[in-house]
Amino acid sequence: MINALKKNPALYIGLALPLLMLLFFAGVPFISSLVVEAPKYNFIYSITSYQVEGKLRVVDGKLELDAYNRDNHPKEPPPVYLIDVHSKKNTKLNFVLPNEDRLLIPPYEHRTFIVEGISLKNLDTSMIAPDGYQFTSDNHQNLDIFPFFFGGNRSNSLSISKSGRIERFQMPREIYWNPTFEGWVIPSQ
Amino acid sequence: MDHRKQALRQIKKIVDENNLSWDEVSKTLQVTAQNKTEGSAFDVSEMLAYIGGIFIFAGIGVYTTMFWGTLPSLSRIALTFGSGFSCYCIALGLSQDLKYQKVTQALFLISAILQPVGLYVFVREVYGASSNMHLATLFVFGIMLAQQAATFWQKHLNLILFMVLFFGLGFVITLFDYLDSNTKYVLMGLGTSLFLITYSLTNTPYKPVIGFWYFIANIMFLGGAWQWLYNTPYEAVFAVFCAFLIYLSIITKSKTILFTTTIGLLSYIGRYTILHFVNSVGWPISLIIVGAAFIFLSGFAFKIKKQYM
Repeated sequence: MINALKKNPALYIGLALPLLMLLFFAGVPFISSLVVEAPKYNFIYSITSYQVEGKLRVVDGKLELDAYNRDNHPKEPPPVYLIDVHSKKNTKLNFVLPNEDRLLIPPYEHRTFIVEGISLKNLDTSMIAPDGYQFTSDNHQNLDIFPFFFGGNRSNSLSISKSGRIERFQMPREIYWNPTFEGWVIPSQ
Repeated sequence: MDHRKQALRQIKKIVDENNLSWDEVSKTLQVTAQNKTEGSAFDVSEMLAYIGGIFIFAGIGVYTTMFWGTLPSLSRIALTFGSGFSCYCIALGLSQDLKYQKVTQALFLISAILQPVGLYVFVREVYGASSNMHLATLFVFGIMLAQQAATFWQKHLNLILFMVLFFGLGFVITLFDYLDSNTKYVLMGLGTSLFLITYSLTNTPYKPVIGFWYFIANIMFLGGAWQWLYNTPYEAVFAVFCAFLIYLSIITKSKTILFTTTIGLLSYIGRYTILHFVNSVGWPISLIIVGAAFIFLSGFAFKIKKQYM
């Protein structure tokens, strides 16, 4: 073995390098998952288009969406999703209109919607949660060497990471637009 | 040179063992050389045979496409993987005889295209269209890698070595993509690995394949390095990588590495210019002066090497 290595070191180092990389890339997340504690805070993301602009805010423990339609046609508000970091469940949140009876936003107008099914103390919009987890979108991170095979499933996931531990969450298949991180849910006591 | 000497020693041994005269050997060699010269001329029959082969291949492809929807699963697999595996078996059989070398290579090539297609068809027919494509690719490329590596172990053909590297690289890239490893480090690591494997082939009879794989290795490494350094305070390190690769191109005597690295370095200089010196006349003049200084230094170094080394 040592003689073979001495005879053609480039070949053996070249063959060993992917194995070492594999050990590293598979080993670090595995060890991190044992050492680093699990995430605590759920988070919210939205799918915004350039036609409808949306901003989330917390009013009296309720989440509100302020949306503006830049288009000259009536548009729906951008969909908002809640990710439960414990169950890894991805839930589309429904809207309630305080005064209006139609969900469509008229051209060049603002509308405020109340987001149903969530009560919270605050929405922390920083990319790093109070427990140290950081939001990272996986979009455009994969190699895409075989473009007709890949891209679909991987680009449709979101991840949060802390000290090498990565937690991934699958987005619904019907989402084609890039997700926008809205914030970490700070629960009411 | 060692191979040539060894071959000549073997010829001498055969001549001695069979009590052949040198006249007989010389006459035979002259006839072979004459055949070779005649063979290198434009051969209409060979060209027509190739065109005929392409038409047959296209005919089978079009026929398969036309009736694909009506074919049962087993027929689909048999048409794709079956044809590929048959070509592979025939190529293996014919490879025992050197006079079928061209046909053998063509059949190995067709089998290396049809077999993976057939294996993908197998995965689709058995597990459905929604099956995980990473796992499917690992399955297909893993089988192909094992088959081509085993064939190369026995046959030592350039084409098979090319296929071993192709399926090996495809398998490893898919594996890292499946693990969702960091793209930039994967590209840099695998680029280095591929470079080292290709470099180890320099003094072997497999030299014809190294140019292409140096190209791929260099593109991967520079692509990864660029992703790593892009828009960071250390972006200029990319130029250092390029300088190192130019040094490697001199060591390996590889024009491919020199070409790709030059493109990389020029692109970086272009970006740097657009970012910092877009309207400054001093910058292009500085580049010309620095470039001229480098050329002067290289000439000076060449003189020193010639005189003292």
